[in-house]
Amino acid sequence: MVERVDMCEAARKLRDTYAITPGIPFYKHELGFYSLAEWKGQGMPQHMLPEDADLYSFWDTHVLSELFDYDPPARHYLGQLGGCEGAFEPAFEVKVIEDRGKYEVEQDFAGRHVLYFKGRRQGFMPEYLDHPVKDRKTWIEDVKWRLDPHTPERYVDLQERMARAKAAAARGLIITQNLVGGYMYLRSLIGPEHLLYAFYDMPDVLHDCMQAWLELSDAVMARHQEYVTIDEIRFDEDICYKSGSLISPDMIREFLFPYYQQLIDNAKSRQLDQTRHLYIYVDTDGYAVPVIPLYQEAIGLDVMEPFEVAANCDVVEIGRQFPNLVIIGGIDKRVLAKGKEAIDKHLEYILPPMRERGGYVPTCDHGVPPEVSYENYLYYRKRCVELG
Amino acid sequence: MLDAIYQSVIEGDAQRVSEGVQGALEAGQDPGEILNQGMISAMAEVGRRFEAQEMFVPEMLIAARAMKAGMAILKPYLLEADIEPVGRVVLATVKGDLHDIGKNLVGMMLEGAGFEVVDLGVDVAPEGFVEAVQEHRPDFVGMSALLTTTMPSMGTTVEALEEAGLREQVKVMVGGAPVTQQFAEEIGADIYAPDASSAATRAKSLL
Repeated sequence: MVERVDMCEAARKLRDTYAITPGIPFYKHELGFYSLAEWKGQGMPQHMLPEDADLYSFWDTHVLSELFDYDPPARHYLGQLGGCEGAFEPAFEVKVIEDRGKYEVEQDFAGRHVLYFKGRRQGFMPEYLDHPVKDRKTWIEDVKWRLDPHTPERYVDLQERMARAKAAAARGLIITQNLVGGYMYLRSLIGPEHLLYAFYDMPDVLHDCMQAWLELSDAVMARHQEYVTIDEIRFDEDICYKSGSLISPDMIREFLFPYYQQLIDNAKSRQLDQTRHLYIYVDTDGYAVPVIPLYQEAIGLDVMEPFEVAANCDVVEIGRQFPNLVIIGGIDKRVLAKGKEAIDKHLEYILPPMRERGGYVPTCDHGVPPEVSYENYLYYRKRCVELG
Repeated sequence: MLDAIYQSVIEGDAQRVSEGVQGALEAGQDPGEILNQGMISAMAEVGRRFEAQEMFVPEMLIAARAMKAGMAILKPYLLEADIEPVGRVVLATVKGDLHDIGKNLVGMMLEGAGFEVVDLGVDVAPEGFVEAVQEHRPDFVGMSALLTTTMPSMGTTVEALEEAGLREQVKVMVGGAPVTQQFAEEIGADIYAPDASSAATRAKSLL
């Protein structure tokens, strides 16, 4: 690893946060925004946004650093392994497949049939009507070959991407291999409701899907690890809902952990720097508390986000219960919508003890929704900086 | 015989439930007893285990599916014996919201508890709920929302029921990811259901 003195300030700050160093200033960051279209009408400057910015779902938050006083990027993402879906190569053809009057159905890049309000693709969450994997036949014929790790198109720009990764590593940025987590992946293939039946109805197919996930993730990571040491593996999992885990611990242990453990073991064995700690980061919405000890024990969970308050996540309590966990998120989006007094009360509850604890990055507990006013968000940022 | 049906529902074995119900009917078992002791009580146990985190969503779904398989055989006998559902629920996801998985889970648990469920689907405007109440005369109106931006439609629907003079005829039940007990009270709902199992339990407690 590059010497600390040669790291950029943001990287030092985030690494100190990962080390759960008590009392240090917070790394200043936001997860994303669903609110920018509203804020445009509320006077938010637009010049820093890219021309093609999706104002209804914007996640490149660092371009707003000057406006909202964020720290510069402290991570470099290696990508190529999906986010909310598998890394299909080739992807499915995107096309409208049905007109339903007020609505229309589109096949998306992941082979799902998606219900939209006609002519609109932004400003609301769509409904997924159908998914590509229904049984072994559809898995093999329609999907599995799109996850082949040997497809050359996956690696056409490898040299350029790795040059950027090495440059980031030279500045001390945390090199993150982000990938779609097993549960999110299975859900995107089979559908959120059908998946829940599939654990009982077609377990062998699920195992085959997970084996393909492992082989692709492992192969791509191995290529990346020829060039850089990975600091972190980030699983975008989304396995929880309001009441906790969607599936039982036994199911997680059967269908997910063996594949994760193999991936992590393989990654560790290939590290250019064998002394480097490999952080394990899991993103799951909902009430995540019941799965924290499971993931800690099975795969060495280090970092988790976003701790939705509406799902009863209290980061102060969670921070006490899990002192070794790096916590990101936990600022209630509903409070940000309310006003200054509510924001003050909320931040005064969370930020002082979490700063004292260390290992915390305050952010909204998911993308900032449109009912949060621009004025309120500016106030939230001001108070966050004052208290952080 | 009823114990076997009960156990098969809990285990989510639809085939054994169907066979068990068929066998029980052929043996002259009362259809109401098959329903109540064999299946509704089994789903109540599933609900209890779900709330105790001994069972999770997949187990709840396959149990509900198993009961549905048994009901397909039992229903004509229930109609013949004039056995009514314990209540009727009009259920939908509110206007602007296209998500139905939560609603579907609630519907399954309500059916498992012996309710008749009229599912209006998704993106249902307040007037849609009013029309459904006028048509179906339910005991309950159940509303689901996934988003903070669609949640306010629940309050608008309650107001619409009041304006139509229907509010006193129904109990209003709300749930969904952003919904809280406080919100339910603010809009004048009768029941806040944090999950599908408690929706059924709380609805039954108000009968």
